[in-house]
Amino acid sequence: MRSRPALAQSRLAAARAALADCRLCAHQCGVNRLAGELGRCHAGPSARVFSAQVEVGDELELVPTFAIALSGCDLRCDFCLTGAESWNPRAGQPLRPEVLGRRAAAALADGARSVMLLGGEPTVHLPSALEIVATMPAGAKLVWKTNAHGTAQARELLEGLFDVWLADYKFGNDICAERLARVGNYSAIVRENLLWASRHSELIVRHLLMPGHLECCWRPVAEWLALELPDTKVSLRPAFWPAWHADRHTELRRTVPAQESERAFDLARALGLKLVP
Amino acid sequence: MSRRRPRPKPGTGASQKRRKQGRGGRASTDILILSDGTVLAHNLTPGMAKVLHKLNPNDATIRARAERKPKEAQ
Repeated sequence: MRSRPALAQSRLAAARAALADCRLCAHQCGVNRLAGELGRCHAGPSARVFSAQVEVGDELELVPTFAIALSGCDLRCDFCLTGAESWNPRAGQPLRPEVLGRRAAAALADGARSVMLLGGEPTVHLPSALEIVATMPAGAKLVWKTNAHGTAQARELLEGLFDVWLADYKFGNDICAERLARVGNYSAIVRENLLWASRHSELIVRHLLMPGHLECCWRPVAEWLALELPDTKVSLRPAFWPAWHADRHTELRRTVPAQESERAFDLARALGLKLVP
Repeated sequence: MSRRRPRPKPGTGASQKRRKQGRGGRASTDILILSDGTVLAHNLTPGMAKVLHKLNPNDATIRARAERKPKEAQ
């Protein structure tokens, strides 16, 4: 059986070739990124890194984690906490996988529990993600932090490489998804990704509670999870803040009121969701 | 009495400036302090978790992260 770094290396050529007709995310732009064409994410053929550091703010079982954040994303969430970097794939520093590999190894030796690859959205930089995986210590617990908007092609390239998928389920309906992140057919795509991830790795589904979106977004998400993925870990995050272009939307110009947050957790408990801190 | 909450403008806040300058090398955390004293944090580093824990030792979320032991030490 191949080691994980070897497996990542073996898929690198196919992942790079995929950029010539890019359909890694569900926008399926079909542009030739190798020839300089830009799709919805505006990403070129190479990833850049806007943050790589040990963090403890993610789910408790994963931290401390060495978090590697790649610039650029296929979604346009107006409330993005890292909008300047997520909306701009040219932000940050050029990717140097071997340097990241050394830093990750040092962080793990120093007590980090995992290495997390995130963005922006790492799916749009799948070849670079494979390069990073190829440099990681073989026994490292690898976390794929994703918006769950990838295609079957992307999932095939990722299969068996990450121990944990930490996947966002942001919107409970397609209208909010279109209005707040300019993405169509959101629910079907995310659900397809979550179901796949639950079969192929450990899965933690994360939902950022947005002010005023308890009924339209959190309730449908929670009910679907209770029905379709009842044993999956769920991370409900109430610490929304009005970042980036959130002020384009009246209801997002504030944080989540304590009462709304309590109702959201009550709903999760009533549905029997497996909440993780 | 109504309370006004801060509304950071895109790309102009202190955190945005710091991120552009600092992310290349030094670890950084974004924090938002609300008018009621609530502190929200993003990209929370171990060092900042310890600082926030000292400010409010009763916050269970921060306490769990500030006191999180490295893997080998468990």
